Amino acid sequence: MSELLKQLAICVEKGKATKDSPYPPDLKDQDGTSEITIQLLENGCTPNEILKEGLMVGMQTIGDRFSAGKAYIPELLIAAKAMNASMEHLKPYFDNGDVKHKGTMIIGTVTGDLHDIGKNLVRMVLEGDGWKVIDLGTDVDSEKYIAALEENPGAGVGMSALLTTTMINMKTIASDIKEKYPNTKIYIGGAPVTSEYNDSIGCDGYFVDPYGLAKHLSQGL
Amino acid sequence: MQEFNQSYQLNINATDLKIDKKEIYRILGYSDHNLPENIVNDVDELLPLAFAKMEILGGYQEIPKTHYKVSENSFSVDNIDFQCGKIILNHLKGTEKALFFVATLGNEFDDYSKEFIKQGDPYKAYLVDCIGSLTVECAIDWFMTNIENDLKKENLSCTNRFSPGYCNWNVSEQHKLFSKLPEGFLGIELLESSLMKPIKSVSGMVGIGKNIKKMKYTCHICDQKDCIMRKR
Repeated sequence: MSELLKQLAICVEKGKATKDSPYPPDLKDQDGTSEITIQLLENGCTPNEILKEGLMVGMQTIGDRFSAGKAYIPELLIAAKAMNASMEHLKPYFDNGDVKHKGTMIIGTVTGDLHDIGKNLVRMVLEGDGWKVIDLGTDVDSEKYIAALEENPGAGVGMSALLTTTMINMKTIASDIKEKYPNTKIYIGGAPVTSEYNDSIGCDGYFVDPYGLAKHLSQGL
Repeated sequence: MQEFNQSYQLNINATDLKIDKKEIYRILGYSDHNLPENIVNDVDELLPLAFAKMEILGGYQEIPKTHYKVSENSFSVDNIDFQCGKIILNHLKGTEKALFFVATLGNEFDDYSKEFIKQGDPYKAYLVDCIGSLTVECAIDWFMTNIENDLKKENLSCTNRFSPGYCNWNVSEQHKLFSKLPEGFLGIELLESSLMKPIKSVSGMVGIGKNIKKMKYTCHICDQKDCIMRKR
């Protein structure tokens, strides 16, 4: 069983979703995350073990390589795609409560901004780390965040912005959220954002990359 | 309405831009020694598909010298002061006219990238986005080269090109720049946030004159440390 879990982690790290995928060449004609997950479930492995000892290990490995400058955004996204192929088989277990997420994060790119690459990366990394992510998309205003918080009490919030002209909208949104839900943790990121800016608008953390956020969130559990 | 009317626009063919795939790989983070085979194949597959979705347009509005002034601290066009910073002001000194330019890949390309997100494939969306970012930069380079070739016939030359958001020129000044372009120019909409829609659009200005020389971008004296142009 542990060999299969190791193989699952390798497939996530290398982005091998299915057997018919020709990449990476060294795993050609071998099972991908989808097939391995089915086998693990058939062999009696719990969805929780698959998540923690296979998928999260693989995402952590590619994440470490990314943080060390040894892997790039495309490899992260390919790994996340492979992880999602496995998660499709685990979805029923999440739905019926057999497997629990670490928590819920509501994320979006703030009002006036349409850039979504950074926000999508955050989504991938958090999902790979066991979080339920509600992605509100781009051009997200206070009302949308608050509506999502109403539906998901206790969730954290992530805000992204790429422009100095849209970054300033984080202040309004954070203030609106904190007014209604003062205990909500709000995290921010994006090219023009800094720790100083985070402090000045009363948010709870700025992270240079999604792994910093994932690590922080897990430490808080 | 513009008091001066020299505006010009041109359709640009993506294949004329001679996009260097190595530049796409570089934007993605790769060089020759670490380039995965699947990235090469996926870029090969997506490049012609992305090109087919582009309607590339470039255009400019000419600003005659009688309509602008360059001083130590500001560049003003008619009654509008542009706070474009000392680096750009130094380049504009001695110019005889200025061009405010824009280029865009069009709305269909924006939608193409979003399609991959809807299909749950942010990896391909990212590749398409990078192809778009490079193409729109190449389009404006190609467009400006054509302009420069025409200017040479009149013994004129161009400064470097500058865009709001770079060289300490605040991105919010897009609104001033767009106020000097013909209404709805090239179909580009400027949002309140200063973001252009289509998102793969570029705007900026160049100065033109007889004794103007292009200079190296002086990134070392600019305090905008997070500027993506530093990496070029």
